[in-house]
Amino acid sequence: MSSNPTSRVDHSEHVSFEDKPLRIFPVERVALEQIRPHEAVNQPDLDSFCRSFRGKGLFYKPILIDGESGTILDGTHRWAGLRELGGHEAPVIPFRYQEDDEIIVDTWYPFCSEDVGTLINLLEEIGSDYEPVSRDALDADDHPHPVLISPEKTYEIRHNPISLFHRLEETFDFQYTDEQIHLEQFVSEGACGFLRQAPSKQTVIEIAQRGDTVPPKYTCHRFPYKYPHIMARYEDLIPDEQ
Amino acid sequence: MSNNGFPFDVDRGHWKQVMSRLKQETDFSREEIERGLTFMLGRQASELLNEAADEENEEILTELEIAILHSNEEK
Repeated sequence: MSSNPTSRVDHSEHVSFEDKPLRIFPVERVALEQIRPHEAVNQPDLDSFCRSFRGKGLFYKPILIDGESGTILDGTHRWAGLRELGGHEAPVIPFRYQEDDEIIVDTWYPFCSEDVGTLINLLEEIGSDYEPVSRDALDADDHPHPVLISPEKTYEIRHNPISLFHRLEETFDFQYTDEQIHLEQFVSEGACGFLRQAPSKQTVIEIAQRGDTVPPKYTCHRFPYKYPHIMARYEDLIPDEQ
Repeated sequence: MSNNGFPFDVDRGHWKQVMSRLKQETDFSREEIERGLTFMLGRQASELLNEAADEENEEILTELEIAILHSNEEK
């Protein structure tokens, strides 16, 4: 599967475009409390969705969920937005998440303009162990622990990755890219970035069932197909608004 | 499921559910049901294209904008 160079989608995502076939799925309405996020809500993204939904008057992108557990795979901010606006139900597409090998859990690679010393200071503040590693043939799949890549040096970090990235996200402004090669390009231009492994599907479900969350952009579910839009009206999904 | 010449396919589980229900409630064969659904989809496509060609239909322009926006976002 080839990918084109990254194109800027919004202010924080640098994503590779893939041409995928269109597949039709059943779209259902489920109560908002029956589905649960595994990813934290980012307030600017939530505000952006609410503005867009109000402005267009249409909800056009179903939320993708694991049909068995109700875990949200894609659409956390759409779910949060419906709740914020007083909705009761969401249009969803349920998947057989664990059984379907075509659905892949991936991650976004965060990068920022901070210098490596500032990032190292935070690691020390939170008690992380870190050690230099070679940049040669660096591959996220070979490193179970997160790796900090800077123009100067590269470090492997021994710290619970979820709590590590929660703290990093709270402290610094990150942009994200979906491919290691693009992360390395940004680092060569002076950024500092992180390689990390995606959690397993089972971990994703367990996090949601516990009521915990991972930081935004920690997971990225990849589907080998696109799905059609829907045309759900604002007043149908938010019936109680005056 | 094969795409019967349409520019999309159908989730296998969804298709099986549809076929199961239609076979249960009719006396048609699987091949007849597939053929019938293909023609029904063709009718829907025909109606959509008629709306798109209708100069007085403004709603279709809104949906086209949404469809293009959604297709651009899908990755």
